[in-house]
Amino acid sequence: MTQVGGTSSLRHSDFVAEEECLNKSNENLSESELVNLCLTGDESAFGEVVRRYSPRVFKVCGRFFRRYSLVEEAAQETFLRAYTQLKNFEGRGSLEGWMTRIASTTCINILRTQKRQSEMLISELSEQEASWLEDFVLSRGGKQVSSNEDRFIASDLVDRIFATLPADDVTVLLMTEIYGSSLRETAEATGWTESKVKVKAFRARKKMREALEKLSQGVTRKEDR
Amino acid sequence: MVLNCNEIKTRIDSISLNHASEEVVQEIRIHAHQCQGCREALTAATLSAQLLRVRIEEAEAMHPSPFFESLVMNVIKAGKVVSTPINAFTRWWEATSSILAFSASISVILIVVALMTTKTDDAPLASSTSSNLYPTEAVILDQNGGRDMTNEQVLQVVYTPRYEEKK
Repeated sequence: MTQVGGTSSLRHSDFVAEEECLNKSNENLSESELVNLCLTGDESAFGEVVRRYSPRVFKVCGRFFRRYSLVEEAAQETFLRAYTQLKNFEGRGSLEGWMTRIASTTCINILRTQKRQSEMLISELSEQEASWLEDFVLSRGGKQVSSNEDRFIASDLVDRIFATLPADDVTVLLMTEIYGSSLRETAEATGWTESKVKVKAFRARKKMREALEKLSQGVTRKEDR
Repeated sequence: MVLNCNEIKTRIDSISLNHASEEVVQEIRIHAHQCQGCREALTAATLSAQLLRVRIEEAEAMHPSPFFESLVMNVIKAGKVVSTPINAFTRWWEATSSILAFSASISVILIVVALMTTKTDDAPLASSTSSNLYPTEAVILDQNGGRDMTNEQVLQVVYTPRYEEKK
């Protein structure tokens, strides 16, 4: 019995060692070599793709969703999609850029399937949120989000406002915020035309501003009473 | 150039305050200083920009768990089906299928109605041809007053051979 157990543990350690060796050899591969290996059905090569680009994909998905489970789900979906569509990767741009585009599209699709809320009401704000918002309004936008507590409130607030906006609006707000004024990059990531991005960004900013304006007015009026 | 409130609000919504030049923001600030409506709009836009920046910064701190790679590879090894992406056609179809179905049914109804109307128009001519209701003399002498006969019917009766009438 001991002998069998010893043999199996030896086999397992052999397997682990072999896998580690494969991982190490994949680490030095270039993007195109990695893609070619993946296309031949080498799963360890795709494992290297996951290892190399998962931090980037997580950052992209993290912009769309706050909950870690949702981010992980979107990232997993991204890699599974990349695995099935790798044959379509033409190698014109970088693999990282291609993965980023897939991640953005996946997140947009998930956002589209999520149920949207009609409006955010002042009554839905917690006391903490209401007083934070009031401070911000009274400082005329001068208050900075600096402490961890502020960040938590701000992040929660943005999440709830996003839930009331259409998925395309959330997408364009995040994309324009990430890429600054570059319409081309936003258009590439979303697959829209530059003029469509411009129009959508304008409308989305207006909607978000109006929603916040309404909340701010409500909070200050409540205090006045 | 002095901008009015609408122009200022349009300008606020056209730019991302986190990326706008100080010159542009300053112009908006000067106007907002004198106008309460624009001040509220600018404060809300500043808040919006700050919230978005927080979201982006928070995402930068997002990292995969140590088990993420094995999670993905296990799904691939298990050969589980990857959910199909929603392509442009599917989205277009979802949005327009009901409109298309409605217009198709309306078209079918219109075609059926049109066919039925054509058949009804042809009916008196066919019956008059078979039974020959109007004798030639009556038509020529206008004994019916020509009130209930069309030109085609008159011509048909006139040019029908007489022996058919006798039959």
